[in-house]
Amino acid sequence: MFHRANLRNNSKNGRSQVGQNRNSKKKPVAKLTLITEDNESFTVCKKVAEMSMFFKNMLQDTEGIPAPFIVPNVSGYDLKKIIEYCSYHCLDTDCPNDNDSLRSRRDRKIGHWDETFVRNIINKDGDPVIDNLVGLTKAAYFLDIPGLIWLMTKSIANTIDPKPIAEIREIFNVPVPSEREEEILQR
Amino acid sequence: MQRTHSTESLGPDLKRLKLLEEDEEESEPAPPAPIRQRKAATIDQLPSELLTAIFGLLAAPGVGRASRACRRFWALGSDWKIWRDLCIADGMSLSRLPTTSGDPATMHQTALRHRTETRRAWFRGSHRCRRVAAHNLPVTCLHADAEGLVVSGSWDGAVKVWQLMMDEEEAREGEGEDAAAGVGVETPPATPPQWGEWDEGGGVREREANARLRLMRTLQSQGGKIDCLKYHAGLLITGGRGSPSIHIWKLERPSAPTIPPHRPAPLEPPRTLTPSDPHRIPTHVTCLDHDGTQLVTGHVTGIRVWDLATGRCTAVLICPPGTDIVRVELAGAGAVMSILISCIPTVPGIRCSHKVPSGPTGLDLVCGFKDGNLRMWRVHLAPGGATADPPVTLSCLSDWITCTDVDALADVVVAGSWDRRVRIWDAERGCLRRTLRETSPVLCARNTGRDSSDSTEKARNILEAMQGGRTQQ
Repeated sequence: MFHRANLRNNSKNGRSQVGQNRNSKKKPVAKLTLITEDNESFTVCKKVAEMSMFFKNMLQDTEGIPAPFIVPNVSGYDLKKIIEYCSYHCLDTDCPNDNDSLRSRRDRKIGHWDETFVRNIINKDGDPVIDNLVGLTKAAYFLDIPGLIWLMTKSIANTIDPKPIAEIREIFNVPVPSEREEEILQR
Repeated sequence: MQRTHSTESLGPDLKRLKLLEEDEEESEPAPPAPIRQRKAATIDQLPSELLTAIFGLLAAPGVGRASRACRRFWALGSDWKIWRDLCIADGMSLSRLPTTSGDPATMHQTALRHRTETRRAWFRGSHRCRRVAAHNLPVTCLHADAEGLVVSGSWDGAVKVWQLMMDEEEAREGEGEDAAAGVGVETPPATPPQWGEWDEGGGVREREANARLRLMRTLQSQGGKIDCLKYHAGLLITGGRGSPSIHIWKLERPSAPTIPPHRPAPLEPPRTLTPSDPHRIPTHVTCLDHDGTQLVTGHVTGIRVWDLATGRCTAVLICPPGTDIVRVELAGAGAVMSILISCIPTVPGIRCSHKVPSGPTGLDLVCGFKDGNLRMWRVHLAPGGATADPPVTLSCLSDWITCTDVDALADVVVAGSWDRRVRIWDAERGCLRRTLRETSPVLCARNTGRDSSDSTEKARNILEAMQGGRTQQ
């Protein structure tokens, strides 16, 4: 399966190169290859990759070197979702950014596409697989994608907001505190 | 072996780039990918920066619960920026807090202390009770806000506007007569100082009314009984029985008691949409709500929506016979405008509800039932319809709940009931913390949102309107 995908990938690249030769006015779409820590490789547009500040800085540093990037700390599943998000949002103008105040981040609404995107990380029972959300949040934090960080934190906040303390402890994987500590927290 | 994904499978970028040239349907996100086995990434592994961001997006009760989970979260949940935003969202007067330019540490401590102290005042503070003989017949509806404006409506057809005077404001007024009257009535010889019946004599009643609640003006409706009122954005709308049953008053915040009362302007006879019911306002309005532009009124027969600018009816909803609508609420969540209706189709029905906006698309609903229980729902509003989480039930042995009110910042629910009690619930833990006894059934209760500025005695003000026609705090 992967070989076939590879082949199709190659043949497509070949065709596009032919196309570029034919009408050379069209700018070639800059591509780069990313390889994750669990050895999955992805080919993405440069514009998509530049959504991530991490890649943007890296591209600036290593301009013109066509070597594949090795992405540490990010699994293939996470990177696949991240590319899906970046592909959709790479043309947006009003992405959440780090300079937003807490208030505007709180009042911002989750868009329709984003909602479906987050729902697809959720399992059959309707509960979000918090591990998956967290894994993606960590990956987004590492790759520094402000829009995705906001979306993930908002989703996690929406998930834990109505939960009682015991359930929050379970989600956060926090051991139940001793009685004395409980007393301090009950202040 | 390396696994390679073709660009085709990651194609939304290309498709979307193409979109700019050709108008195509927007691509939907890919279907759920199978969840792979992966090493557990638990939420406590997140860096503090991300956890702070998550805490900043929670509502006040959520922050309260999450920060009690462990010490690390306690520290995170005590971030002053989070509390400043929550205080602003709650409408708490920031003038009591140091300004934002002040020292962040002081700011946070003050905000956090405010919440803690408010909770303590609710649960453990001493409650003083003062009665004001306001109306001759039962008080059915009440409005109170943080600026100290109080409006009460009664079956005697009068609407009275009061200014709630705090102790030190009263002292500043320097009217010795009032102060003397307050002291005099505080300790009547024959009755217990807290819960006793006051002398019905005119003089005492008047002076007592002036001591804490200063009467600003009286508005007399041309119809009969007043059943409901709503004050919002300088517009006071009352509904009741008689003709006309709806009155609209332009009511600015009273600055001095000498302002002459405004003339009421009755609603012009609006055009209705049903041909069988031409040119007539229903004679009995049981409940209403408005947001400054739209007015929703509930009747025995149905619901009407009015445009306040033109005074015309824009929509009519006819309900099946026997539906007794007791409460309507307008709930705005972004572009979605919802009308919440509660009614009594059978005996154990919803009596009354209160909403707290919990986010851009959510509502916290508190409903009081005839069996004496309170249930709280988190409702998610969406253009297609609303969904609700399973309710949290606050149950106790009591009579029919008549009214509820919520202090969102402190996470406290106040419920008045027919059995002459006002109960104070801790919504965070879901337990009953306090019961205040009255001498007559409580018909409506409102939290004024102000606490007494006396530092030695923190007391949260609740206004209760009672069947006996007194207002009390």
